[in-house]
Amino acid sequence: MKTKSLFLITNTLLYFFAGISAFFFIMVIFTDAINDFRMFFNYLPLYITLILPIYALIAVNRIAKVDSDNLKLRKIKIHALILSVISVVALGYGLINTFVSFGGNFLAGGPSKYFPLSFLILNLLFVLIGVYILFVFRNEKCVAETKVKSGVLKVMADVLKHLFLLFALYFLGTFAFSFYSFDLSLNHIWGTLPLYLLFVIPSLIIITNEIIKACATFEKQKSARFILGLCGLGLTLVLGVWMFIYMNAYPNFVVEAMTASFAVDFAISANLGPVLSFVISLIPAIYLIVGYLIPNYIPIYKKRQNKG
Amino acid sequence: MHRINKTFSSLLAVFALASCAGGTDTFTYLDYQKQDLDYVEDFRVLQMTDIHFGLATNFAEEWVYFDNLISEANPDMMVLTGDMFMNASVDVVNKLYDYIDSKDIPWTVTFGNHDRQGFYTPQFIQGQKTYDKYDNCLYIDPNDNISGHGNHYVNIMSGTNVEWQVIMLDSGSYHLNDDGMTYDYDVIHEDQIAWYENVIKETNIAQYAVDDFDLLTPTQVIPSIAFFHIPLLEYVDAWEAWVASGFDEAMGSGVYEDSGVYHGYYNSGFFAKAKELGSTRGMYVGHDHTNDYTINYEGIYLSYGVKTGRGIYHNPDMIGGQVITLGDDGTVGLERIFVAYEE
Repeated sequence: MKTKSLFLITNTLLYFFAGISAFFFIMVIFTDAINDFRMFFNYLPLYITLILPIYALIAVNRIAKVDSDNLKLRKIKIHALILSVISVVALGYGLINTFVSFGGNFLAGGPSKYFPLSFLILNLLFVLIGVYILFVFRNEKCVAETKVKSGVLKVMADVLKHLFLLFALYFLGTFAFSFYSFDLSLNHIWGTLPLYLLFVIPSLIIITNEIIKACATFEKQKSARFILGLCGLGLTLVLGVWMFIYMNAYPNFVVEAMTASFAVDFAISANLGPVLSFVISLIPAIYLIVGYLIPNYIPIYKKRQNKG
Repeated sequence: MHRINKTFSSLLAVFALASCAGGTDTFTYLDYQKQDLDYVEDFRVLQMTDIHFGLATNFAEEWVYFDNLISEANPDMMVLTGDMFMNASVDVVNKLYDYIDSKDIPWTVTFGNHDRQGFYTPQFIQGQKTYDKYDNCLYIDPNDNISGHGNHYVNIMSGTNVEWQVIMLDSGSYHLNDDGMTYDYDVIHEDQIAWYENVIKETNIAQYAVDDFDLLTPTQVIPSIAFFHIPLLEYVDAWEAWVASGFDEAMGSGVYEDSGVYHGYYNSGFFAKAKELGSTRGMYVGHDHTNDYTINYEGIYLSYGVKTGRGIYHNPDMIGGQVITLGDDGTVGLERIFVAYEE
């Protein structure tokens, strides 16, 4: 129970952290890209730092899914080593870069007021976490296991799942950063509200699903996930319809109150963000419902059923 | 329960206050100017446009660039005509404004389509509070009900007489088309045109102590120039007229290298109103980074500023600023200043 709670807390915190990182990463690299990547090598340590929470989130979940203790330990050690090495490299590069590119100014500004100091501290934190994990498990022995080859379908499902995860994280980050860009005039509060809520629904479903998986028996999981899917679907449809009705009444409300949330939309002059946030919210809900109704078509259910 | 009711009432009060925050209609034209400037011979207004500072800006290099530009331009006033920022933060905005203000030259801004896309509230970038801390800033936003933010003007005075007026208009950002999927650019709206007309007429009526603007002869009308970000539809007509003239040097100068003139989504009649009033000698915009032509079209100069700095797409040979000189005879001059980055 202690391990489960630790996993859930770590996973949830990492998830939020990864969401913020994903959004900030996209924003900074998008800004760098439209400026001919002029700052790419200056910002490389920052980019690495922003990818690390996403990497750590995926690693924690992969470790949690492994049944064999030996393999679990092995994965923990490998991922901790990778985390330590990458963050040490990023920290070293960041320090050198601060002197070479920013004239030793640790508060040069740009991505944040305290850049690059803030990101160097974050990097140092990753180094410490990685080294700490390696230290804790230094005496635990594990042996190499023969890797079971994944089928093409499994690999594709894995890729799609991670792609979806990135979208969900990005929208969660958009929500988090909306606290900076929220239109205080509240002129379009009834239009922006459903959209802001749609940003968090995919992540809420994912996190709740993880909690169900960790806390309930397989039989209870099935019905709990079905109910989660139904709630997610119902909420998404209500918020989606609400948003589209408001958009119909005030077509320009996104322009007037939410331009900061859809920078990419305005760069390509296409109103895709609101529709995309609706679709991304539908996906996990439908996945859970379909998984309950026709479990043979959903790999995770099939696997568990065979086990169960 | 009582506590819940109290909380709910407080929330309602916040919503009610917020919905009233749009302002009232009790503003006069005098509320749209912060302070006068003194006229000097061939008054020099430096237009800087489309700077595009954002999260990926190297400030140390930019300040060297801006130092070179401003010292070469030697302006009496500086105007930033939109898209100063794109994906910027409060820190980035403060850095640019701190820098501009440190030059001890009067300056003001109008917004482009990208300025509101950043890690700050719309109220931060367009609200008065942000600009009030700068001694040399002339920006004013009375928080009225007129479209856009920071529609304002600056009178340039010879003694007690207004010699020139500099009009700043917010040409907005985007407009969602009827298909619900694509965006066009916004325009100067009819209520802004009415505001512009009121400022011109009231200033002239006050200066000449007459009852009606129409009593003035065209030569009497106080000359003005207007700055905004998004070009008018007439910029296309002007270009076509110049092409038809065989690029007559007396009519225009500059180049059209962009993939188009990205004007607003309809013609709201600003140009026609300016022609009718006879005050505005030139209109100066940004937006299309590699267009820098200025054409005298039906008596008004329609002009693109020179893109300032290397933020997002640009032609490295076409960046710098544009100086508009205001003569005491009501004529405008133009000087393009191209500044390259130091290697």
